[in-house]
Amino acid sequence: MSNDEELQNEIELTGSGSGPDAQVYKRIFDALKREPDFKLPPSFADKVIYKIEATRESKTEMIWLGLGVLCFVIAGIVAIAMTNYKFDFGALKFISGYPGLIAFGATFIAALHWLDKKFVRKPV
Amino acid sequence: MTEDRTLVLRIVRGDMQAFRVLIRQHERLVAHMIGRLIDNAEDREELCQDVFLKVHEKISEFNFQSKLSTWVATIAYRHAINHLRKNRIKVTDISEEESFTDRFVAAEGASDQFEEDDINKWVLKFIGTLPPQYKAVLTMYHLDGMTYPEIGEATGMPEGTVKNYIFRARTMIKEMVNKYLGKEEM
Repeated sequence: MSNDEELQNEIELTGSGSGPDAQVYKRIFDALKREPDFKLPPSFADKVIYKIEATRESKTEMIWLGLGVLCFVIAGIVAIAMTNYKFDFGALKFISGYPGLIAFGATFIAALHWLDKKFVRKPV
Repeated sequence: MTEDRTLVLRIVRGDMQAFRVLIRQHERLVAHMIGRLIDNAEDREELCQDVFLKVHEKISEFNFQSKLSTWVATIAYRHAINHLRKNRIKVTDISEEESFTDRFVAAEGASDQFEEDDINKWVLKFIGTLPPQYKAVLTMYHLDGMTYPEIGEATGMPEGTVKNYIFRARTMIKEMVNKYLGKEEM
């Protein structure tokens, strides 16, 4: 065990030591025990709980949304079957001539969403 | 431990009041860890929130093999280190051969950097220059009163490494202070 280590152990156990290094170590030990400036606000626990409950609500909403979409699809299938409906894309046929435009639009919107998620800080 | 067990079981059953109690019991510990390791003030509170969100998410996996405070400290430590790595801040050790003061104190003009008379503030500034693992073990040991085994469990380091890091970190700070004081005398 080195002198430094012995000195540190002595100061930790007894709170005293001899020599200039001992004085420095005592000040260091005192400084290490001081609370840092960063403190959490009194409402911190409330904020965390709010976030958890918001996430739970969001999950519940997603489940209802999923169920709603499923019901819509089932209703659509039943309606098509009962009415013998024949698909005709009609006015949307013109899009088939512009696949590049559709791909660009979808990529651009996806990129905007990604940039928003990555760089825009949500309020704490 | 019985209190921890009761609290955890209540939280697992969905008791948010119990989770509020857990936050109040451990927010100081988490604030110490995040406050010491993360320099960006804007990130600190959000990271502390993320730590507790993770605690809530994983609470059902807590197996009572350790103290609840040690488990929370583990999550806080890993979260802080991951954040530093994501921001490309080096999380590496210092080699034994490297001179401590050369590593952290500029050769010239060191006294110009620090204008405060209070040695406590110098020490805190010097602590701020240490690698994250050193800051973490010093914080857990001196501020939170954790034992070597608890710190080892929280950081994933062997107990011997924890002791070594604490000793080396304090020695480094002493050398920095001595060098600064030596420059002042000149």
